[in-house]
Amino acid sequence: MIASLHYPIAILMFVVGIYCLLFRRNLIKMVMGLGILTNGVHLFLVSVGYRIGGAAPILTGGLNQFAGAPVDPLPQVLVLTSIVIDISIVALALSLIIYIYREHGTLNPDKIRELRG
Amino acid sequence: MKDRDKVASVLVTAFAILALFLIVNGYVGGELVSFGNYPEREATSDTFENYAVAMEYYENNQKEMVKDFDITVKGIESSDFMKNRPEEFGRQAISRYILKKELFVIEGENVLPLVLDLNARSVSDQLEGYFEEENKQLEDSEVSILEIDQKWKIDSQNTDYILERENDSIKVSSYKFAEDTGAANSITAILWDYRGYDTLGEATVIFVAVAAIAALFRSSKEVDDDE
Amino acid sequence: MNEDEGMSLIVKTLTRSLFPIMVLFGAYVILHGHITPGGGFPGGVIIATGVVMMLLAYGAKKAKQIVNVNQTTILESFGALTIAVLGLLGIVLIGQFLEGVPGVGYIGTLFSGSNLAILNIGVGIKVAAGLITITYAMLELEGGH
Repeated sequence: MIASLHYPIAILMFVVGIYCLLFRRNLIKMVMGLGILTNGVHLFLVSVGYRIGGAAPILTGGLNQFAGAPVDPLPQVLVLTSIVIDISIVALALSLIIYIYREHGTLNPDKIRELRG
Repeated sequence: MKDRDKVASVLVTAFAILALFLIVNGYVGGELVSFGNYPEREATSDTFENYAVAMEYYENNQKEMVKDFDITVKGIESSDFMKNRPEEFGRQAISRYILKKELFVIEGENVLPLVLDLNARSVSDQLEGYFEEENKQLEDSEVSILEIDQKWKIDSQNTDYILERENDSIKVSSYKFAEDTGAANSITAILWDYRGYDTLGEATVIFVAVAAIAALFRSSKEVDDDE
Repeated sequence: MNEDEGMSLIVKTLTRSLFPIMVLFGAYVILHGHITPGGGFPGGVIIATGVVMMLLAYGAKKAKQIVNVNQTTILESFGALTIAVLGLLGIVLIGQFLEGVPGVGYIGTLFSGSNLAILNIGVGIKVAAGLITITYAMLELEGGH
């Protein structure tokens, strides 16, 4: 049917993440949208490095298909770093949300109006 | 509607249209969805004397060049820029440089007996002789047959060698990352050896995040001043 | 064992017997980082998951006696220092940052690779201790004797 199903699904995850960030009026749901968004981008990056009939780029003893056509290892390295940075972003965001809840008593960003005049 | 809702709905519809376009394109069989699936291309058959001649040739045929920028330059002493570069460069240079690197070619009348030895999974003295000329060691090696059409792999101590047969010669290549670092996992070798600075920066990111969160939730009872 | 806090007895028994297996598996993923997929970062997360599993099953009061938050912060800095010290040793002894001596053993065994194994251990300790510190800090458990 479709040549490769990875790219539309990655863009779909990106769209769902942006929808959650823009349309939900609850801070924790916005953070969840952030997580889905970044995972969609990671899926897209890893799918770019695929080769037809490729094998994993790890040497094992004996027979393997590595010599034929290995999959590109460079996008996987960048995604490995990006996943760990995503953890730190979500952890910091959630701890700031705890503080906001203590101060204002609500999780709705429309009702937090301290900076407005 | 408020302005924010208008902007949001425009963005969401734009991305939805992009996703639909990609799906339809893949159904009709367009190239956009399957651009990651082309097989690993080999270098073109043009060989140039040095870098200047190659650039001149490709400047004249610039329209075809943008898509297939793979050239092979004979020798690497053309310029200082090329001195530490691999012999093939192009869009897939980094992965090919690390993953498979051609060493030398065995030609001559001795190819057939070597082929029979390799099919019987043994390393003969002749083969070791060829390797010693290029300063590579073959102690305690094992031969494994990769595919049916004459490809062999030799597991030796420091790296693995791949031998491919082409009519009357055998092409020997090796894995560069295994020779440089000694790791069997190419991704770990890239993370800690070729890109070690990036991993150091990421460790700093984790450290700063943990320090910030530990500082945010410190109770005020812990800070006490001594009299 | 107090049955008022935490979860039921079945969960407590299963968690208590599952915890060392999780730590062992995390240590396996860390140590074989240069042979199989994985490495320092996923292994550290697996170890931290085991400790958080104990926290969930036994309640907040008992969890404070298991882990001391002051010690985990020191452990995390120790892991980060390992990477820095190995990098500087590379400059002093050999010539480049984070460089080791290649060709120590056979490829595909545990004792191969120059200094990849030690770097993986350092990062694994750092990530595990960091995640435990984050979890305990958000729940505001001071912890420890």
